[in-house]
Parts: sequence; C-alpha cells; structure tokens
Amino acid sequence: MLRLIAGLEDPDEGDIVLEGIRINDIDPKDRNIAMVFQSYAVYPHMTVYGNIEFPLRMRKIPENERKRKVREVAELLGITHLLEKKAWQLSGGEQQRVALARALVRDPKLFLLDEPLSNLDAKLRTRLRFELRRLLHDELKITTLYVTHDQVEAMTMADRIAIMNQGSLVQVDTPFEIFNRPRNIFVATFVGTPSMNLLKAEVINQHTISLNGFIINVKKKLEIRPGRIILGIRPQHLTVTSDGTGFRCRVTGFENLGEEVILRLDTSREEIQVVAPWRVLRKIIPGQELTVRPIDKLYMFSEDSSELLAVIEPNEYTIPL
Amino acid sequence: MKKRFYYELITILIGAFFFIVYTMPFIRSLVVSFMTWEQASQIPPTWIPNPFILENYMRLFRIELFPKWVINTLVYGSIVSISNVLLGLMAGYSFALLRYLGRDLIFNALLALIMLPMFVTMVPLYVILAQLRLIDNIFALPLLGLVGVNTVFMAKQYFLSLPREFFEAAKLDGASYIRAFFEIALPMAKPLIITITVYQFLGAWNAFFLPIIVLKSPENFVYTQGLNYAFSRAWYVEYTPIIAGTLIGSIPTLLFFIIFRRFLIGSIVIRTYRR
Repeated sequence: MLRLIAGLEDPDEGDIVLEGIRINDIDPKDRNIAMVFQSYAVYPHMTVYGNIEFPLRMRKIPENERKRKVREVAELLGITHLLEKKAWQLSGGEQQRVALARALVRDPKLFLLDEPLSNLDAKLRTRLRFELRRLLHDELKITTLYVTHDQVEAMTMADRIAIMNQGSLVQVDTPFEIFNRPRNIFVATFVGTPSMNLLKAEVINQHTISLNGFIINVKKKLEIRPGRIILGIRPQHLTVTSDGTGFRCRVTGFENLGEEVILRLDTSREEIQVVAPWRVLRKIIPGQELTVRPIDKLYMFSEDSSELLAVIEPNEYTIPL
Repeated sequence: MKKRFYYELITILIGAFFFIVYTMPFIRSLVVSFMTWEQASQIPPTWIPNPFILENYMRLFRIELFPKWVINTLVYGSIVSISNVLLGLMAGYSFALLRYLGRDLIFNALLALIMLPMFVTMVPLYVILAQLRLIDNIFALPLLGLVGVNTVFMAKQYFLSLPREFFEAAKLDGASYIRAFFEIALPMAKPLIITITVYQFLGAWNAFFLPIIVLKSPENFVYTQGLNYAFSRAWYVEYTPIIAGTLIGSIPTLLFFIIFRRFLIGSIVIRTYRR
C-alpha cells in the first residue's frame, strides 16, 4: 500500500487523495511524499552527507541552502558526527537515522515508513520506537503512515491504527478502540499478548451463555439470537479459582516470565492461555486439573462471519456458584 | 592422522598433475622463444636452449610496423572497453529496472543471438561492411564490438541483484531515470565495470579471426594478425619469433589478471551492500 501511495506502483482502481487532491497521475517525485524503506536503501557509495543532500540536489536547491538544511536535519537526528562517513560503514541503527534524515530533509507532506524497526535488535527497537514517535509526532508534526507487523509498535506509536488482512482494510480506529472493541476475530487476536482465547460457546437465551455446560448469566438483554457463538476472553481476564467456580481445565504446560506465568490449559475442546501471578506456580504441576473463570470483559463473535456481536463488561454478568 | 596425510598427498598429486598439464605449453613457449628455429623443431624436443639466443625478440622489434600494430590493438581494446561499459550498463539498467512495452521480447531476441555461431553471420557481416566501405578500416572492429550481448546480459543480472529499493528511493528523491543511472547505478556497479573492462580489453587483445577477415593492409593490422603476417612463409610458419611475440603480447593480459584477479574469480563480487 505504501508503494501505491508513494507512486512506485499504480493502483488497478480507486483514487489516492492527499490533502484533497487526487494524486494518482502525479509523478512520484512531484508528490512530495517521503518514504523510508525497510532496508533503508541508504546509498552505500556516498557519504552520509551525500545521502542526505541527494534529494535536495535532485531538486536543484542552491548549495549553501543545501548545506544549511543537511546540518539542521543531522543535528535533529543526532548524526552530525557521521556526516563524513561512507554509508556502507554504518550500523543498522545509524543507517536508519540516515534514511530518516534523507526523507525529512525535503519537508515532505506525508511520511511513509515501511517497517523501519524490523531490522534492528530488540533493545534498540524499543528505544527507537519511543524516539521516533517523539520526533515525528511531537516535534515535527508530520503526518506519518507507519507499516508494521509488530502490534506493540502499532499500539504504542499510532494515533490511529488501520488493520489490514490480505490486502483489505479491516478496521481503522484509535489504539484504545482497537483493543477494546475489535471489529472481528482477526483484529481481536492481533492485538494483545498473549493473544485472545477463543472458546466455542452457546447463547441459550437472552440472559444466558453456556460454555460447554458452564453457565454465565448476563444482566443486560443480549441482542443475539440463541445459537452457537465464539466467546473471546483475553488471557489476562481469566483467573484460576480455588473455590471450584468456573470451568475445568487440565494444565498442559506453562511459560514462566518471572513476574507472571502464562499457563497453557486444555478445556477438552480447545487450548487456552491464562496469565497468572507467579505465585500460582507453587501449586501447579502439568497434568493437574483446575478451574478457571472470567473476571473481565467478554467478547462475543459470530461463528459464521467472525464479526464482533457484543462486548459484555465485567459488571454486566455473574457466574452462579 | 594417517588418513588425513594420505588425503592431502593425493590432493597435492592431483593438483600437481593439472598444474603441469596446464603450464606445459606456456613453459614450452618460454623455452622455445630463446631457441634457434633448428633446435625448436627437433624431434624429440629438447628443453634447454642451446645456443641461448635473443634473436627471436630482436626480429620482432626490427619490424617497422610492430609499434603500429600494438597501437591499433590498444585503440581497438580501449574503444571496445569504454563503449561496452557505457552502453552495456545502460542497456542492462534499462532491461533490469525500467518498464516498457516489448522489453522482455527485445531482451530475449538479444539472448537468442548468443546461440548463433559466429560463422553463420560471418558472410552477411562481411557484405554489410563492404557496402558501408568499412573493409580495411581500423574502426570497423570497434564498431562491431561496441556492445556485446553478454555484456548487456551481465549488466542486467547485476542490476537485478541489487536491491530495488535503491532505485525506488532515488525515484522518490526526485532523480530521473537518467540521473539515477549516473548517480546510483554507475557508482554501485564498480565491480561490474572492472569485469567488463578486463574481459573486453582481453577479448580485443587476443582477437584474431575477425581482424583477418576485416583488415587487409598491414599498417591497419592488429597485433596478433601482424605476427602471423610477418612470419608466415610460403611453405612453413617461422614459429619461434611468433612465440616470442605472443609472449610479449601476454604481458598486459597477465598484468590485468594479477591486478583484477579478485573481480574475475567468481565473476562479480558485491561488497557495497550489507544487510
């Protein structure tokens, strides 16, 4: 999609509109859209200075102004000390900054970033994630379209997230809305780690849901026809109970994250995951049976279309003893 | 331990065998170039020049046209090298990175040309040259060699091997296709340029068949052709001075090889880009 907006590829149909103007037929170089590629595409044979200067030189901007602008951008990104280096000598993180600088130097109307952090190691990625957002969003205030497969990047950096699945747009919303009201199962399982548990359930009547015999009473009236549904519960929204309320599961394994534990459980119909505090580990051995109950939001999805039907808040349901 | 020793011994023996097979002709040439014609044609062959003479080399330098032939060859080699680099890279760039109607068709047609043996086109080529009045013109050879299909092919593959993003970035940065060629493609093709130059120059330096068809008067001859002309007699070829000549002629070849060996082995090395 970025390639379409940048003009590197032509769309089969539809219009691309930027600031109210249809840009389908405008030459990529006249669109004033800057793009940072996943591989950065920093020209290896030039110096860092040459790289940043390149788009200005192509636009026939006079030399002294070029010099000033390159310095400005280099200072902004903290790469002044690299200016004389050849680009092929740079590390991944440095290359990324140079690519950013080259894109920023010509004051683009729109900024396209194609997975800019995916080639970096985890630590650097976390730091740059924060810095990028501060720079582009808070300081420069440039409209930015940022492509990523990393849901954490999407959630932390974006004002609005557009989720795409196999080339079509599924949902465009704020991170908050995406997390709390995912339009369908795809979106619901995309955000949040570990991803949402999906359980086969049945709506018995307008106030009752059955989860393989385990009954949930809903206070408000459900606007859903009785029948089979998919019930989504986030792993953080389940708890291991000691008094036997909830549905029975068998422990198949666990992942210890230090502070907390991800339990892998088998409900005899599906595999689910539960995030539990670390101390429950002392009581748990694989193969053991235990009971689990929901303590927070329940998401109800249609079984056929996988669309979201309803979200039930924790104060809207009770679980009979 | 012992097994390893035998393994290495066998490797060395096989290596030595091929070394001898391949260097023998060269050593023979070297030895013969210092022999008299009588000794060189003895059977069984002898290997130590007796008497040791420099006459073969002297005769070479006594030929008045010898420097002219060398210059002709240098001109031929230089033109062909430069034009192949420039035109071949441009064509390869266009085939690899631009999109236009009939691109693949043209490229495949060009590739098909490689399959044709040169003898098929020899006669028509001669006729065309004759009609253009280019027979016996020293510029006919460089004209024929301006750009080779294999150069274009090599260049295309090279540019395809470079990440596309470089050229897309250049496009977004505002560079036209032509600017992107000179600013991005050309500087990034250094290894390729060296390879093409070496191959083309050596090709011209060793050319023999095409020159003897195209060039007629001795002052227009290239080096190889001149040697053959100077020492071919009616009944036999005086091959000791020719060998001396070819040895001298291999000096630039050897130099080229030593200097650019890194680029010739394994054809093209890309060092500029790293992930």
